[in-house]
Amino acid sequence: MSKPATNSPKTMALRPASSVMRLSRLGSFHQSRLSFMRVLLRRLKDENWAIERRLWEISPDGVGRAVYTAAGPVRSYSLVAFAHDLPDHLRTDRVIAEAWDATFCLFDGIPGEADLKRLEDNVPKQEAGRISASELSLSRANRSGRLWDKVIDALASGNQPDAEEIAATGYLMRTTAVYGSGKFGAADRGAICERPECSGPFQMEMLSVYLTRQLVFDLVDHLAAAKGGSRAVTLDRTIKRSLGIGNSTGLGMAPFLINHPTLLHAWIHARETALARVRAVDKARTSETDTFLQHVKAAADALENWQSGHPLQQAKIADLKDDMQKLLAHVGQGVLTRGRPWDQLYIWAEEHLSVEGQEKLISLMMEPYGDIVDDLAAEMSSDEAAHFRIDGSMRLHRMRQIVETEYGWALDDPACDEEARFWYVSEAKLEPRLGERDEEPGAELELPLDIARQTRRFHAALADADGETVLAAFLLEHPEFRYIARRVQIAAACPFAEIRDNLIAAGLMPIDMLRCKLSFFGAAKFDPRSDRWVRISMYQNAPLADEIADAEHVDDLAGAYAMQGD
Amino acid sequence: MPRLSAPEIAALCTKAARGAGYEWGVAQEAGRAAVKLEALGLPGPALLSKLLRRAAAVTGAPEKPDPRLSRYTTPDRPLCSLLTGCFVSDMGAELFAWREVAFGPVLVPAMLAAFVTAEDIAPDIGISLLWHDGEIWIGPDDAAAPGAPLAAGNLLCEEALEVSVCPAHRPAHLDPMPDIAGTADDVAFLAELANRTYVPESEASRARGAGESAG
Repeated sequence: MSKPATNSPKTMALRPASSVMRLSRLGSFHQSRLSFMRVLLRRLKDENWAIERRLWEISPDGVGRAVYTAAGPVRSYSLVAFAHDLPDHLRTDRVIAEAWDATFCLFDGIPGEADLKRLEDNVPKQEAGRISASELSLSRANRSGRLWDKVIDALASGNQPDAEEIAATGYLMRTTAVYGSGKFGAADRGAICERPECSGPFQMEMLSVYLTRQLVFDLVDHLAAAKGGSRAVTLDRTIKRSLGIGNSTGLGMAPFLINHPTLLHAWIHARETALARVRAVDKARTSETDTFLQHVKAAADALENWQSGHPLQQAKIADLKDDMQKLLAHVGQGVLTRGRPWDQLYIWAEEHLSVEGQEKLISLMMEPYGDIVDDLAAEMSSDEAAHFRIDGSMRLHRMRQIVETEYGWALDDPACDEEARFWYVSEAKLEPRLGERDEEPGAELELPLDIARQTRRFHAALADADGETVLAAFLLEHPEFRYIARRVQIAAACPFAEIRDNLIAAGLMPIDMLRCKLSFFGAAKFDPRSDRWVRISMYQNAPLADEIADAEHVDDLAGAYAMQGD
Repeated sequence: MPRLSAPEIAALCTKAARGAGYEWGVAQEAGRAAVKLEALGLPGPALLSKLLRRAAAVTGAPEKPDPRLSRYTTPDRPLCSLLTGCFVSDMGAELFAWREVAFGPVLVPAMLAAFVTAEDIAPDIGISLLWHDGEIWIGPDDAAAPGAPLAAGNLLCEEALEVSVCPAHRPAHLDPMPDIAGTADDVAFLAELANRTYVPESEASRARGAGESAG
């Protein structure tokens, strides 16, 4: 939970959007104190939430249902889980799947038997089923092919699983979709966003995943006991803490950042404000530099377990390893003992570290400063309806001025003239896809994600129009510019609303868009499997449900303060 | 017919309007309008469905208002309430300035209720939309008046010769908004239009795919 800063923190100018909003930089973001999983974990501890397994009807072969309830100061939320017997040949993470190892929903309150029966008829069907306004999310997960059986076999025979194999994978189950906000009949966000625990972005989805992690641990212990009887042991707590929930995410998520410009602005603005506040700190206390160094060392250690098969990410990880060594060496020369130490450090990083390293440093610099950073989490939502309406009384000369100020990147960069690709919705999957314009049919059904191209066309049309005309009249004659006109007016008020790259260029890397969003979730171990889908891990190093109340560093997803044993 | 959530209504109606041929920015307004109509107690998808059916039947497509005129009337073809609504929303207070504004003829006049706000026209008292056989009154947002908004008559009217929008105190003769349910047919029609926005699979798209998950 965000605590209000006691005094208004000092700050300085934010980094310019022209630098921050480039896709290569957004695609290098890392989890930070402002990430939504960490915001949730702090709330669970600060408000003394109790997590209870209320129902466990799982057979020895792992089929059945379970309910986990998280009870807060005012309301309770329950993960309703259904575990299935899925033949190996049906296990796929692709969106075309029709069966999974486990399916879930987050119920608003504590479900009764009638609710459970209704959910049992629908949740296992996922997209083909229907949930109600009593549910806040819908999700599913599959077992890790590499680890699941090995872990159960080891535990059943009285041994702990191989530590190296555990570290290499990092999860026992991975979610393949977590749907929230009104999807498939679930409650609208508008119905719950006034609740403090739901006001931040994706808080209920994050709660659902955290409870899923707990269920996975219980399921593994349960199956091992069923298999090994009295010989079986439970999974060691230290190992459990080191495990997260995996996730694989594809193109379906990519347009989110473009379709929610004011929300993107809110996220980036909060993060940039946090950076500016830390850079404005006049002097670093010893305790603060110690915390920072502990996190730098943990980050360097974690890099040894961050594996990726993708050449692009392998290069970024290699750069990051170098960067962490350079950083430690530079800090060793005393930069943090000087005035404005974090500002000095950041300026040095811009010269000496890779973009990946610079963005990692920003996350690390926030770690000692929860007192001036965490309150910004309360500013990461957006009232999108308030920005939707177009001010049609604006004169065209003013619109043109805004375009030239806020979209100079689109007008000036020749790369923004390129249109090699197009975004569309696939009839077969009903999901966004990226096509090659000259090779695939369907460009006439293009989604309006070609922001740079639309801007250039809009600018040209404005140049030909009478500058004294009001926008409303212009849009009656040119409704094709209504979409971009709305965005331009939003960008005038929200400079971080727009990704400043050509999203239909041949060289676009959609995984950068995924990485940006997932870093705000709090994901780690980004492992791109192609240019358009990525595997990640969520909640690695988080405390177990029964440890939250006593956890000193409850949101330590970096493992900087990893507890050992029981 | 299953209950549709607000995001589902917005997505369906946006895609349907796009599938019917409206530009993306206008289609977004259709999605937003359908949700707002539902919030007012009106059947958003049903009204949009009626509009899109009627608009498709108008030879040469329905009209948009001419901003050079002070009365928004068209001699030949009826005004599209979606395009008219966009203009009304864009101009806001500048269009009304405490006076009555008339539009006509208008297809599915109740759609306009999504685009007018009391704040723009008469923040202290409310606004009235009136046509030959129907009327809607929308109070100020902060009105604690029970039952607001109010309505009477044929709210599903498909074409009105003239729609008057004017400042109005809470009228005594209107009733609370009646419960008008949309039909499965309306949703099916919108879904059919939405389908026009999807691209069928090709060999190339199958080969490229999207990665393993929708995320």
